[in-house]
Amino acid sequence: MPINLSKGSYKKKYIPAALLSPGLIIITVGFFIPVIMLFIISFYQGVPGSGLIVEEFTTANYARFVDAYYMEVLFRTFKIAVYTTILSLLLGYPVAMVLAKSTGRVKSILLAIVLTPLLTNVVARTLGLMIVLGRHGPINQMLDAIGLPRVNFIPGELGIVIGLTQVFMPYMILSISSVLANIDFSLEEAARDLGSSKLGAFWKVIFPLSMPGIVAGSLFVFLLSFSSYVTPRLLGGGKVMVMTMLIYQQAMQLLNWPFAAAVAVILLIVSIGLVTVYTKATASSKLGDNAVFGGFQKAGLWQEISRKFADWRYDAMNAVSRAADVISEKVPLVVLLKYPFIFGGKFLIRTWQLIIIIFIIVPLPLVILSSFNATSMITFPPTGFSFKWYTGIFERMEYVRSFMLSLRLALLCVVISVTTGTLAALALARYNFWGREIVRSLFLSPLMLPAVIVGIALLRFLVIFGWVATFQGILLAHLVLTTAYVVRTVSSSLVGFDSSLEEAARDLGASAFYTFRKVTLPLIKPGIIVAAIFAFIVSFDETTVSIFITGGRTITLPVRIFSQLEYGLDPTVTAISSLLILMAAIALLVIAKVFGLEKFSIR
Amino acid sequence: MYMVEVQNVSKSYGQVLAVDNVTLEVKTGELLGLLGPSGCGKTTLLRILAGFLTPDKGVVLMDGKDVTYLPPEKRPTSLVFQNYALFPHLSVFDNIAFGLKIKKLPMKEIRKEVHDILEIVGLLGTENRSIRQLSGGQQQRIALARALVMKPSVLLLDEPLCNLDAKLRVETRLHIQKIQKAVGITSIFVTHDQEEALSISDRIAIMNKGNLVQVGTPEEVYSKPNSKFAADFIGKSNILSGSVEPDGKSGGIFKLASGKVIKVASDITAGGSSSLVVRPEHITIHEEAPEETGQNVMPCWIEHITYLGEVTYYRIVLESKEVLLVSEYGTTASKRLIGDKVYISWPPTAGLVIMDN
Repeated sequence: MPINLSKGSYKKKYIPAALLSPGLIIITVGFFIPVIMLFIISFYQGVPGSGLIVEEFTTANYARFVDAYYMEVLFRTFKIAVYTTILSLLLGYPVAMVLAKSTGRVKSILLAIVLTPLLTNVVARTLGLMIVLGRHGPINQMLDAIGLPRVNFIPGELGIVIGLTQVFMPYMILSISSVLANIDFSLEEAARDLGSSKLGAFWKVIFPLSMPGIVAGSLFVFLLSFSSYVTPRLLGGGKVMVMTMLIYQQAMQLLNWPFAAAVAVILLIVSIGLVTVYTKATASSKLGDNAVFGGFQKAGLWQEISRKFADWRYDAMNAVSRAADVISEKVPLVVLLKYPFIFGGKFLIRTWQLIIIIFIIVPLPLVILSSFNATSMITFPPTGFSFKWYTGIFERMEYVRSFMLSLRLALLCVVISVTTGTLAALALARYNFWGREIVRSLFLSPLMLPAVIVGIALLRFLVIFGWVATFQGILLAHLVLTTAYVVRTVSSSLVGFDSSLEEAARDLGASAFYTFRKVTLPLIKPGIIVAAIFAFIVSFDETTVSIFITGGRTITLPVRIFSQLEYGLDPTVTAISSLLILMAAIALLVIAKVFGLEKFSIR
Repeated sequence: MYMVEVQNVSKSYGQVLAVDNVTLEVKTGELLGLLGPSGCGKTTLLRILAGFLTPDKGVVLMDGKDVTYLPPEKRPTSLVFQNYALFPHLSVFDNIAFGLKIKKLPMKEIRKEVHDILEIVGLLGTENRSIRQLSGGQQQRIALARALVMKPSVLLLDEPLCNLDAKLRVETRLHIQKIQKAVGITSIFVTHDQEEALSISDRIAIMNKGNLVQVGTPEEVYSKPNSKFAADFIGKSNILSGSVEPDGKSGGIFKLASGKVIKVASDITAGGSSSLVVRPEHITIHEEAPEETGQNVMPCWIEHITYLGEVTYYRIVLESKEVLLVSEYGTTASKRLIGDKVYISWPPTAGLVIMDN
């Protein structure tokens, strides 16, 4: 049989384009164009209160931001994000250590505890936090019980930081534990063998080696909390102004879209800038370590000086620590002070780890507990048992309508995005074409960009077609996000795919399509199932983007309960939230069965 | 004088007895090869010596002091890990200086010590390299340097050569032996490679299923294996089952299961069922029947030939169906073919009888 080279190369170009195009159309129309438009609009002049836009180039919106009030908003947002990151690191690291070291059943339970909140709707989780941190919540009751004054966590910045930590800490834990789990255990043994104590081996070997996990986790948590909307809005009671609230206020209440667009662009630039600085700084501090003993590419003199300095520093520290040794030998008191920590250390750490693990999960059971409360006040502990808030859902038609809308959206999203996303993932994994990496990042970019920015960009875009607060408008928005998730999940299941299996099938006489159906598809099926679950959950739970583009009679369920919570706690919302938590738990169980929790990746 | 004394040490993991009542002494300055198949308990024993495991029973003495319950950081041992366990975030210098800094030596001394040890392992000038910039063989030597710089009383090596390719393994083996002799440090070298153990060790301790099978010099364990296992594990052996029968003048007689009779050394006395061990190199092949001079001579045919260059292995089958391995050294290409009828012979003294128990 003659080999037709030209036909082959024609096919090679044509196939990836065909596979990619459905997904690319969704991403381009629903994301890329709106974001570009948002950027352009930020340079136009808005007429406050009218929603009108004067299409003339101006930098006035950016100039306006340089103002004490807005700068304070930016600084406050930054501060909250930094505190959240630090708190997540301090609380999350010990849990990451347990997670990395545990095996079997304990590991599964821990993973379930860490992952369930991630799959739960953010409004439902924040409701849990409102109950935990509330004036009559369990924490304040405990403070009461031990005779300490109550603390007003919410509304306020303290509550927001604690809340964001609870919401985003799982990302920190998973990043660090995945790095810790890959550290060769014999390195710790080598340190012990060379004379380190257990604690010394941790600080000198394990901790420095876990730096990549700390950096990645910190970036995650920082970016997510810097650009989150729902949690600060609800825990701040609308009184703590952060960047995302400013964007919402300018776009939705003051109808000054160009200024809102400018604030969104600033949010984006500041977060990208900070990430860059942070990554550079952590990278160069590592380089600095090398420089201590003469770094390789450093100039001779500088090398000499830095070496001398490092030597001097070591000797100075050495003298101090030897003096401390001498003192602790001579003065038994110092030794006595040390001993309780040595013996109680393990117990203290275990208790600390347990408290944090409880902190991660406790808002969810509390929501469920409250949903069976007999009184309409949300009290802790509950006063009586009742199903009336569940039956009450059906008496409020707006909730039923919202539920039906969210369900239709989620099911459609699963069907469409699993198809388009899987095709795109296959094209990205199987074919080498020009611009492949650009296309890949285009597909994944809706996951990188803050939801608030996607929301305001889409709002402005949908206005043009009159698609705001319509089914098709929300569907487009959700498809952008769900397609990105599907591409990511299916891609990761294709990474470990041994392509020689496909070659074997072809060698045995199977056609390309037969090979796909009988070899490729069955092997990536677990990935596709998990992608479908993700698509359903992401669409059904989507809140922040939807807040911008729903309205009137077309309001999705999470937005409905969010708006309700803006006015205060409502027992019907606890019942709905409980159902959302149940849905997350079921999704997790299915993922665990199909995929195994260990393989579940957050990236 | 013994540097290390292991007395009646046992260790089990659940139901599995990994080390079973082992008693072993290591002389000061000696290199002991701890040899056995994987899962024989040699690594467990090494980890007990390093302090990463505590024995269920028994005592470990080092330099006369009981160290059974000392944590690894308090022991006078240094371990060279199988995968080297070099700290990937530290430079070569910092890896070697790691333990010295914990000892709180002044920096001036640390620099000198690191310099000296790098000179010994032949890697001066690599101080500022990162571990990833080193080849496998270099990493191996840095791991050795990091252990030696601590001036331990006992150097423990856990299969240190198994991650190197065959040629480098031989080279590094000689290097380790040279350094060990130069420093004069008591060393215990775990390996599953009998050639490695034979070539490098002053004495070899053979382990099997958690038990210490035999301890002796390489020459002893090769020429006088005390068990079927030792005979089979070290070198190539022909092991034939049968029993010893007394014969008045011409020395002992070994009777195979097939009824065939083989002459063995006269001082071997009668006993129950036992095994006869004959090394392949002690058997000679003849084209014509040789004259009977008190040797074992038997007709046979060649079943298989393996040509390995410096040595050729023949698998031959006796008339009584026993299969034997014969080796022939020399560069001349063999004229023999599979199926050829030949004769083999070996002196009675070449046969070693091991009682079964």
